[in-house]
Amino acid sequence: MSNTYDVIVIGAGYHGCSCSYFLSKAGLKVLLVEKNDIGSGASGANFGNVQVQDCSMGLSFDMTVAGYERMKTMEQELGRSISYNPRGSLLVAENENQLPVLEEVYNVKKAAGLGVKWLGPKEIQEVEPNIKPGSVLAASYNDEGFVYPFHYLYALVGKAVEYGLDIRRKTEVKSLLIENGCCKGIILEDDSEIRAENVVVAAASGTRAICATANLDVPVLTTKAESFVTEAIQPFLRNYYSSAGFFVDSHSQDSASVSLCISQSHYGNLLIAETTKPFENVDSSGHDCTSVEHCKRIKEELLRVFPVLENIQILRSWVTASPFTATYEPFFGKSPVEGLFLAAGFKSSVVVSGFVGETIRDLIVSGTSRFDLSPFTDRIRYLN
Amino acid sequence: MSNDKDTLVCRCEEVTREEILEAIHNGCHTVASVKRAVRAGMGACQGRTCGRLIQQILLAEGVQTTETLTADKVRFPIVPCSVESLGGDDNE
Repeated sequence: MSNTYDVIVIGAGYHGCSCSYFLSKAGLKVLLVEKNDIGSGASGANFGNVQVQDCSMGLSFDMTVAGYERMKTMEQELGRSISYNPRGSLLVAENENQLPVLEEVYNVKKAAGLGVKWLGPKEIQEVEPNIKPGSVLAASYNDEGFVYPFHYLYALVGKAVEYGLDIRRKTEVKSLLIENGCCKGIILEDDSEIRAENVVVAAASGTRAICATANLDVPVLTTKAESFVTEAIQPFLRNYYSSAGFFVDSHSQDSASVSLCISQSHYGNLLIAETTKPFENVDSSGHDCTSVEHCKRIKEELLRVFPVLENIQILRSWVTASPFTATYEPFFGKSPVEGLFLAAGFKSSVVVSGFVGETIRDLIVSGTSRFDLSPFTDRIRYLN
Repeated sequence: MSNDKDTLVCRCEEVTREEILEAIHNGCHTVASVKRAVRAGMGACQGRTCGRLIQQILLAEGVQTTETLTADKVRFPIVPCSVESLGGDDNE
């Protein structure tokens, strides 16, 4: 352990671990600082989907396509299993309400060159036989993939440690260290300083507060997101299933939104989600509790499409603080503060994580990047 | 002397003592982080069998003390429940 590094990375989720790996591999002396533990936040609370067809357009689309290609070679890159498997993604319109928005997503992606296929009810049945006939109207199908989150996170970190990464767990950043308008490191809760020429904030829901200490307004917002995991069963789902309802009413301003998404993990458990509610509308005592809405509405949504699951045993529920931004575009790249870089607020993280790590490495090592990231950083203002 | 490779700590997910020690040596110093790394505690009994054993190993390895030791958080449902049994009755 040292008190001086080339780079400090804040946050041991997908992006922080990826940045730590690529920077360490490039020969830089890196410290990864994490307030709890590796993958203990949103990165350890998701399905590990490598998602493509639901991405935003413009630079986000370019980044997602590049990221998708990168993810296919990450296992080789790391020389460690991340359990990457190709898997189809079904984005489904379950009712008339969801059809127009699904058509739009499909048409835009198709026009952009993605290999998406439009499926009618009969075709959906062939691709996902356990769906109740008549319960869905149409779907956009795309070849995508998934990883096992913890294999991926621990592979990134394990390899980075081989390249010399230091890690401080259970360590919260109290403030960024700013001298003459430049970021020179971090200050911890005990007021001790750790210095670095560069700091990367990959802290998801913690990003806004950390950046505020550098007088920057980086509005990464937070939603309370809830899931269930079931007992392990025989192969049941062939694809990742998600409702197009997400595009209709996700992230409502005051009430819980429920949009069905279901995946079967590498170990046979079904992962069922997602109920979301803006964090500031949840009483602080309820931030970490499974809600009644989640139990009732997930049951309704799930059994409408997969009634055969009514007797499956739920083992556990969980809640995570899931970050998002108002535009669904991330804050990613060089911040207005010298020495301070950002990687937070991505719509879907696994797919771009390899690309994010490489790009942050390029920005820090040579001041270049494959894409011009100013659309992701231009809108950052000083607080005062 | 029992062999760490052959000793199951988490029988639901078939996680050996060797895997748990490796996770601890890689920096997993809590029951929760060991669980994330090797799945011990993610199975049908949700850590009822292995949780205490992992705590004992953490103490024996010196990465926790009896003062700092915690358990993984218990979450709904307390016992496995079917999807069917979740709320949804109109009589709220």
